[in-house]
Amino acid sequence: MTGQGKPEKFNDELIREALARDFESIEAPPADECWRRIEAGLHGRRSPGQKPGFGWARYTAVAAAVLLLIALSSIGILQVTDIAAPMAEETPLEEVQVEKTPGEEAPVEDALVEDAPVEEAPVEEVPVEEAPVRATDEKTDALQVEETEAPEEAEEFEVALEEETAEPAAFEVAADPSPPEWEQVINGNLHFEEAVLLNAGDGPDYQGAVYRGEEEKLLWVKSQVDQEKPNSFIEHLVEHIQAESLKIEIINGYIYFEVAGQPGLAWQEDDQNQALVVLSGLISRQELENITSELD
Amino acid sequence: MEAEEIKKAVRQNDNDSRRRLFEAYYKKTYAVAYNILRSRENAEDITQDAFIKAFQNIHQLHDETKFGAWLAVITSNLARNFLKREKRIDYTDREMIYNGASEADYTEESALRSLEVERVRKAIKNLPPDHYQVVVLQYYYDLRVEEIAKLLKLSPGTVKSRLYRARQKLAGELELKDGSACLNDKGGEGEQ
Repeated sequence: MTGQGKPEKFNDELIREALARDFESIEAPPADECWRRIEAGLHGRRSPGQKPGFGWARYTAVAAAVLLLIALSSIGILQVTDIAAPMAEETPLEEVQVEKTPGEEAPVEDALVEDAPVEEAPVEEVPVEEAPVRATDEKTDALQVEETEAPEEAEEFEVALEEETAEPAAFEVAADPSPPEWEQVINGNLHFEEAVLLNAGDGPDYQGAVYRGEEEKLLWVKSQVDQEKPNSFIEHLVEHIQAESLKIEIINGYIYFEVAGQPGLAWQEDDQNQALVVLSGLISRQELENITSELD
Repeated sequence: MEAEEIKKAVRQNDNDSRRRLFEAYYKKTYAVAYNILRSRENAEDITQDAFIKAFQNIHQLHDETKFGAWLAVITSNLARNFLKREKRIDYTDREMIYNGASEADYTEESALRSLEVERVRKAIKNLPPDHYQVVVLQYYYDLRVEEIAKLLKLSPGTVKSRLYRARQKLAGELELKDGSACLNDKGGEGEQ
């Protein structure tokens, strides 16, 4: 656990002592109040004076988010960090499903649940008929919000764009003649394999890098297009890798998407769109998120 | 709370057991949240959410004695995600009041030691969230690199690298403060 030399032991001991002091001496708010809210949360009821926790966005928040989504999409103002579906502007909004999870941050769940693959993350889908919020008008001129019984923990929404069966991505790309400097190793175990140019679709070309682990293969893509909307970026990216199915979720400011059953994650940095797409192997959403924080 | 008691409480997971676990871990959980978020109000909310998540998913905890570490992971992940969502780190609420023991009672040696611990404590609080997370898990909850990797769903290499970088940052910060580092960049399992 600790180093063998005396100075290192001493240092490790200092860290332990410092943490212990920190944890013991911190002046926390009254525990009783917090416990009362936890109990209320566990029993699915709101206690008097309860603060809406981050993980317990209510039905109204979902409805507001959907309205915001429609409004932003229709006027073309949309950033990656917005709680809005970027694809809504260019693709008819078929339906909005409200998912229920034990907490707000699905990626967190992946990390905290031991041995639980992403697919098994505790997410319950509310059937469309029972979904408390449903957008029905395709062009967003009118939004019908049905007030049905809302699940307490409804907080994430998913925009299902196409229902086609996912096809394996036929990933054919050219080598990049003038690649940027890519990281050699990411996530500690994924090694740079080759720089590629994604130019199969009609959209702009993107530069990418393929990373390979023992069983995993990951594509990291950067767009050089100025003022490119995230939805266009993801659409073009999917065209480039010649996949036909796309499912998008916006969680915590990240855009999660799925191509041929594999997860992808898009984000913006300095107004530049970037994405990670799992090409093969098992890489969870949480890992993708961790990779992005490493890349920062 | 003893290991056996924790195990029993986790297995029972009834209201009384939850309350006991809450009381045992409330301050630590709040401290983890606060040290990442630097906001009392947000830390309070995250603490609340972390306990709710933990109790609701407690069946997924395979080693009941690791409840504290597991809860710390939930808390730090929630706090980190909150920061990412907010795209900011709020340093405005950093004047936290600590109930440190009175230094008047210390001998010179213990006073020096105490000062050193205090400097390390402050340096730890300045670590980035992902580094803080692994430091807490290794040094407070005594988890091995492999255990941390499993909990965080990271490769052991990434955990080692984070621990290494965290120690480097601590050493750097402490050295910068007065020119005499009390930490070097070694120690623990993270040597590269």
